[in-house]
Amino acid sequence: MKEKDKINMAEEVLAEAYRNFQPQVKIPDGFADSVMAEIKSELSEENSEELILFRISWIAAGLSAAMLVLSTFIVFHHNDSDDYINRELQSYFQLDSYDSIITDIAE
Amino acid sequence: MSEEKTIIRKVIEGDVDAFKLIIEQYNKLIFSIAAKRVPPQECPEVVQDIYLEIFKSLEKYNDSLPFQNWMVRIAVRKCYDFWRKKNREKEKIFVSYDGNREWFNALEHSLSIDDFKKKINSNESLELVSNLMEMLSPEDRLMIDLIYFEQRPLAEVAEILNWKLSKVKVRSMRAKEKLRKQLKIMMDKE
Repeated sequence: MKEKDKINMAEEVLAEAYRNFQPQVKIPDGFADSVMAEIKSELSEENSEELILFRISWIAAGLSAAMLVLSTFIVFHHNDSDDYINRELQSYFQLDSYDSIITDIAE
Repeated sequence: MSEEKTIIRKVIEGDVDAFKLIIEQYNKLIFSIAAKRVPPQECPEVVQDIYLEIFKSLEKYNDSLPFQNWMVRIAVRKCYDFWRKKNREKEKIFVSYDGNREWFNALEHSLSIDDFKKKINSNESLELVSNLMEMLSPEDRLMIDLIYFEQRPLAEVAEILNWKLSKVKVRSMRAKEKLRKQLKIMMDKE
Protein backbone atom coordinates (compact mmCIF):
# COMPACT_ATOMS: atom_id res chain seq x y z
CA MET A 1 0.00 0.00 0.00
CA LYS A 2 1.30 3.48 -0.90
CA GLU A 3 2.11 5.97 1.84
CA LYS A 4 -0.59 8.34 0.60
CA ASP A 5 -3.20 5.60 0.92
CA LYS A 6 -1.96 4.81 4.42
CA ILE A 7 -2.36 8.45 5.44
CA ASN A 8 -5.85 8.55 3.95
CA MET A 9 -6.73 5.41 5.85
CA ALA A 10 -5.34 6.82 9.09
CA GLU A 11 -7.28 10.06 8.57
CA GLU A 12 -10.50 8.23 7.94
CA VAL A 13 -10.13 6.10 11.05
CA LEU A 14 -9.17 9.06 13.23
CA ALA A 15 -12.06 11.18 11.96
CA GLU A 16 -14.47 8.33 12.60
CA ALA A 17 -13.13 7.84 16.13
CA TYR A 18 -13.57 11.54 16.84
CA ARG A 19 -17.06 11.67 15.34
CA ASN A 20 -18.22 8.62 17.27
CA PHE A 21 -16.86 9.87 20.54
CA GLN A 22 -19.72 10.27 22.97
CA PRO A 23 -18.38 11.74 26.19
CA GLN A 24 -19.90 10.68 29.47
CA VAL A 25 -22.07 13.60 30.41
CA LYS A 26 -22.67 13.96 34.11
CA ILE A 27 -24.74 16.95 35.03
CA PRO A 28 -24.07 17.96 38.65
CA ASP A 29 -27.07 17.88 40.97
CA GLY A 30 -28.81 21.23 41.28
CA PHE A 31 -26.88 22.58 38.32
CA ALA A 32 -29.81 24.61 36.96
CA ASP A 33 -30.31 26.22 40.38
CA SER A 34 -26.64 27.16 40.63
CA VAL A 35 -26.74 28.75 37.17
CA MET A 36 -29.87 30.69 38.13
CA ALA A 37 -28.16 31.88 41.31
CA GLU A 38 -25.18 33.06 39.25
CA ILE A 39 -27.44 34.88 36.80
CA LYS A 40 -29.30 36.60 39.64
CA SER A 41 -26.07 37.59 41.37
CA GLU A 42 -24.75 39.07 38.08
CA LEU A 43 -28.01 40.94 37.64
CA SER A 44 -27.86 42.38 41.16
CA GLU A 45 -24.22 43.36 40.57
CA GLU A 46 -25.22 45.10 37.36
CA ASN A 47 -28.07 46.84 39.17
CA SER A 48 -25.80 48.01 41.97
CA GLU A 49 -23.30 49.25 39.39
CA GLU A 50 -26.09 51.14 37.68
CA LEU A 51 -27.19 52.56 41.03
CA ILE A 52 -23.64 53.70 41.77
CA LEU A 53 -23.38 55.33 38.34
CA PHE A 54 -26.78 56.98 38.90
CA ARG A 55 -25.60 58.36 42.24
CA ILE A 56 -22.29 59.52 40.78
CA SER A 57 -24.11 61.37 38.01
CA TRP A 58 -26.39 63.05 40.57
CA ILE A 59 -23.40 64.08 42.70
CA ALA A 60 -21.66 65.44 39.58
CA ALA A 61 -24.81 67.37 38.64
CA GLY A 62 -25.07 68.74 42.20
CA LEU A 63 -21.44 69.84 42.20
CA SER A 64 -21.88 71.55 38.81
CA ALA A 65 -24.92 73.41 40.10
CA ALA A 66 -23.03 74.44 43.24
CA MET A 67 -20.11 75.67 41.14
CA LEU A 68 -22.51 77.67 38.98
CA VAL A 69 -24.12 79.29 42.03
CA LEU A 70 -20.72 80.00 43.55
CA SER A 71 -19.31 81.53 40.38
CA THR A 72 -22.45 83.66 39.93
CA PHE A 73 -22.12 84.85 43.55
CA ILE A 74 -18.44 85.69 43.02
CA VAL A 75 -19.19 87.67 39.87
CA PHE A 76 -22.02 89.62 41.51
CA HIS A 77 -20.07 90.12 44.69
CA HIS A 78 -17.13 91.34 42.63
CA ASN A 79 -19.40 93.84 40.84
CA ASP A 80 -20.80 94.94 44.21
CA SER A 81 -17.24 95.46 45.50
CA ASP A 82 -16.38 97.59 42.49
CA ASP A 83 -19.49 99.67 43.01
CA TYR A 84 -18.68 100.07 46.71
CA ILE A 85 -15.12 101.21 45.99
CA ASN A 86 -16.36 103.50 43.29
CA ARG A 87 -18.91 105.08 45.62
CA GLU A 88 -16.38 105.52 48.44
CA LEU A 89 -13.82 107.12 46.15
CA GLN A 90 -16.42 109.39 44.61
CA SER A 91 -17.55 110.66 48.02
CA TYR A 92 -13.97 111.11 49.27
CA PHE A 93 -12.64 112.94 46.27
CA GLN A 94 -15.97 114.55 45.47
CA LEU A 95 -15.67 113.21 41.94
CA ASP A 96 -18.26 112.09 39.47
CA SER A 97 -16.77 108.68 39.02
CA TYR A 98 -13.83 106.47 39.79
CA ASP A 99 -12.61 107.01 36.23
CA SER A 100 -12.21 110.72 36.95
CA ILE A 101 -9.47 109.93 39.50
CA ILE A 102 -7.52 108.13 36.83
CA THR A 103 -8.03 111.12 34.49
CA ASP A 104 -6.97 113.56 37.23
CA ILE A 105 -3.88 111.56 38.08
CA ALA A 106 -3.01 111.34 34.42
CA GLU A 107 -3.38 115.08 34.04
CA MET B 1 -46.69 31.40 19.71
CA SER B 2 -44.78 28.22 20.66
CA GLU B 3 -44.12 27.41 24.29
CA GLU B 4 -40.42 28.04 23.77
CA LYS B 5 -41.03 31.47 22.31
CA THR B 6 -43.35 32.27 25.20
CA ILE B 7 -40.61 31.37 27.68
CA ILE B 8 -38.07 33.48 25.79
CA ARG B 9 -40.48 36.42 25.73
CA LYS B 10 -41.08 36.05 29.48
CA VAL B 11 -37.34 36.10 30.21
CA ILE B 12 -36.79 39.15 28.02
CA GLU B 13 -39.65 40.92 29.79
CA GLY B 14 -37.94 40.38 33.14
CA ASP B 15 -39.14 37.00 34.40
CA VAL B 16 -35.62 35.72 35.18
CA ASP B 17 -36.92 32.50 36.77
CA ALA B 18 -38.42 31.41 33.44
CA PHE B 19 -34.85 30.94 32.19
CA LYS B 20 -34.57 27.85 34.38
CA LEU B 21 -37.02 26.11 32.03
CA ILE B 22 -34.60 26.73 29.14
CA ILE B 23 -31.70 25.34 31.17
CA GLU B 24 -33.65 22.22 32.12
CA GLN B 25 -34.75 21.64 28.54
CA TYR B 26 -31.33 22.00 26.91
CA ASN B 27 -28.96 20.94 29.69
CA LYS B 28 -28.09 17.60 28.14
CA LEU B 29 -27.39 19.08 24.73
CA ILE B 30 -25.24 21.92 26.05
CA PHE B 31 -23.31 19.61 28.37
CA SER B 32 -22.63 17.16 25.53
CA ILE B 33 -21.29 20.01 23.34
CA ALA B 34 -18.98 21.21 26.11
CA ALA B 35 -17.94 17.71 27.19
CA LYS B 36 -16.68 17.00 23.70
CA ARG B 37 -14.61 20.16 23.59
CA VAL B 38 -13.28 20.94 27.05
CA PRO B 39 -11.71 18.82 29.80
CA PRO B 40 -14.36 17.05 31.96
CA GLN B 41 -13.37 18.88 35.16
CA GLU B 42 -13.88 22.25 33.42
CA CYS B 43 -17.19 21.29 31.85
CA PRO B 44 -19.67 22.60 34.49
CA GLU B 45 -17.96 26.00 34.64
CA VAL B 46 -17.89 26.34 30.86
CA VAL B 47 -21.55 25.31 30.64
CA GLN B 48 -22.41 27.93 33.26
CA ASP B 49 -20.63 30.56 31.16
CA ILE B 50 -22.58 29.35 28.14
CA TYR B 51 -25.89 29.85 29.93
CA LEU B 52 -24.84 33.29 31.18
CA GLU B 53 -24.01 34.27 27.61
CA ILE B 54 -27.30 32.88 26.33
CA PHE B 55 -29.18 34.80 29.01
CA LYS B 56 -27.38 38.06 28.23
CA SER B 57 -27.82 37.63 24.47
CA LEU B 58 -31.44 36.54 24.56
CA GLU B 59 -32.66 39.97 23.48
CA LYS B 60 -30.57 39.68 20.32
CA TYR B 61 -32.05 36.30 19.39
CA ASN B 62 -33.67 36.39 15.99
CA ASP B 63 -36.65 34.10 15.40
CA SER B 64 -35.48 33.29 11.88
CA LEU B 65 -32.89 30.84 13.26
CA PRO B 66 -34.10 27.86 15.32
CA PHE B 67 -33.45 28.57 18.99
CA GLN B 68 -31.50 25.34 19.46
CA ASN B 69 -29.10 26.17 16.62
CA TRP B 70 -28.60 29.65 18.02
CA MET B 71 -27.73 28.21 21.44
CA VAL B 72 -25.38 25.63 19.94
CA ARG B 73 -23.44 28.39 18.21
CA ILE B 74 -23.04 30.26 21.46
CA ALA B 75 -21.96 27.05 23.19
CA VAL B 76 -19.36 26.25 20.54
CA ARG B 77 -17.99 29.81 20.66
CA LYS B 78 -17.73 29.68 24.44
CA CYS B 79 -15.73 26.44 24.27
CA TYR B 80 -13.41 28.17 21.84
CA ASP B 81 -13.09 31.10 24.27
CA PHE B 82 -12.15 28.62 26.98
CA TRP B 83 -9.12 27.47 25.00
CA ARG B 84 -8.18 31.00 24.13
CA LYS B 85 -8.22 31.96 27.81
CA LYS B 86 -6.07 28.97 28.59
CA ASN B 87 -3.40 30.53 26.40
CA ARG B 88 -3.37 27.60 24.09
CA GLU B 89 -2.56 29.80 21.09
CA LYS B 90 1.00 28.58 21.18
CA GLU B 91 0.83 25.52 19.03
CA LYS B 92 2.45 22.25 19.97
CA ILE B 93 5.47 21.45 17.90
CA PHE B 94 5.32 17.72 18.09
CA VAL B 95 2.94 15.06 19.29
CA SER B 96 4.36 12.23 21.33
CA TYR B 97 4.79 9.19 19.18
CA ASP B 98 5.55 6.54 21.81
CA GLY B 99 2.02 6.36 23.16
CA ASN B 100 0.70 5.39 19.74
CA ARG B 101 3.34 2.95 18.57
CA GLU B 102 0.95 0.01 18.34
CA TRP B 103 -1.53 2.06 16.36
CA PHE B 104 1.07 2.97 13.75
CA ASN B 105 2.35 -0.60 13.66
CA ALA B 106 -1.17 -1.76 12.85
CA LEU B 107 -1.47 0.90 10.16
CA GLU B 108 1.79 -0.18 8.60
CA HIS B 109 0.80 -3.84 8.47
CA SER B 110 -2.83 -3.51 7.44
CA LEU B 111 -3.97 -4.33 3.95
CA SER B 112 -7.33 -2.59 4.08
CA ILE B 113 -9.24 -0.16 6.28
CA ASP B 114 -11.40 -2.97 7.69
CA ASP B 115 -8.30 -4.96 8.52
CA PHE B 116 -6.83 -1.88 10.19
CA LYS B 117 -9.97 -1.23 12.24
CA LYS B 118 -9.91 -4.78 13.52
CA LYS B 119 -6.35 -4.42 14.74
CA ILE B 120 -6.69 -1.14 16.60
CA ASN B 121 -8.36 0.01 19.74
CA SER B 122 -10.85 2.86 19.20
CA ASN B 123 -9.73 4.55 22.42
CA GLU B 124 -6.22 4.69 21.05
CA SER B 125 -7.51 6.34 17.87
CA LEU B 126 -9.40 8.87 19.94
CA GLU B 127 -6.35 9.63 22.05
CA LEU B 128 -4.24 10.10 18.95
CA VAL B 129 -6.72 12.37 17.20
CA SER B 130 -7.14 14.42 20.40
CA ASN B 131 -3.36 14.82 20.63
CA LEU B 132 -3.17 15.84 17.01
CA MET B 133 -5.94 18.39 17.48
CA GLU B 134 -4.01 19.91 20.38
CA MET B 135 -1.31 20.88 17.94
CA LEU B 136 -3.64 23.37 16.36
CA SER B 137 -4.49 26.85 17.56
CA PRO B 138 -7.92 27.17 19.25
CA GLU B 139 -9.41 28.73 16.11
CA ASP B 140 -8.08 26.03 13.80
CA ARG B 141 -9.10 23.35 16.23
CA LEU B 142 -12.67 24.59 16.37
CA MET B 143 -12.76 25.03 12.61
CA ILE B 144 -11.51 21.48 11.93
CA ASP B 145 -13.93 20.17 14.52
CA LEU B 146 -16.87 21.90 12.84
CA ILE B 147 -15.92 21.19 9.24
CA TYR B 148 -14.43 17.72 9.23
CA PHE B 149 -15.96 16.12 12.30
CA GLU B 150 -19.34 17.76 12.62
CA GLN B 151 -19.51 18.26 8.86
CA ARG B 152 -21.12 21.67 9.06
CA PRO B 153 -21.32 23.82 5.91
CA LEU B 154 -18.39 26.21 5.43
CA ALA B 155 -20.73 29.20 5.40
CA GLU B 156 -22.04 28.27 8.86
CA VAL B 157 -18.50 27.78 10.17
CA ALA B 158 -17.58 31.21 8.80
CA GLU B 159 -20.56 32.68 10.65
CA ILE B 160 -19.70 30.94 13.94
CA LEU B 161 -16.09 32.09 13.78
CA ASN B 162 -17.03 35.48 12.37
CA TRP B 163 -14.60 34.99 9.50
CA LYS B 164 -14.90 35.46 5.76
CA LEU B 165 -15.70 32.33 3.81
CA SER B 166 -12.43 32.59 1.89
CA LYS B 167 -10.49 32.68 5.18
CA VAL B 168 -12.24 29.54 6.38
CA LYS B 169 -11.38 27.77 3.13
CA VAL B 170 -7.71 28.74 3.23
CA ARG B 171 -7.19 28.07 6.94
CA SER B 172 -9.01 24.76 6.90
CA MET B 173 -6.80 23.58 4.04
CA ARG B 174 -3.68 24.67 5.92
CA ALA B 175 -4.81 23.11 9.20
CA LYS B 176 -5.68 19.85 7.51
CA GLU B 177 -2.32 19.88 5.75
CA LYS B 178 -0.61 20.40 9.07
CA LEU B 179 -2.37 17.41 10.61
CA ARG B 180 -1.55 15.31 7.58
CA LYS B 181 2.11 16.34 7.77
CA GLN B 182 2.25 15.38 11.44
CA LEU B 183 0.72 12.00 10.68
CA LYS B 184 3.32 11.46 7.99
CA ILE B 185 6.13 12.32 10.39
CA MET B 186 4.79 9.79 12.87
CA MET B 187 4.43 7.15 10.18
CA ASP B 188 7.96 7.72 8.95
CA LYS B 189 9.27 7.16 12.47
CA GLU B 190 7.87 3.65 12.37
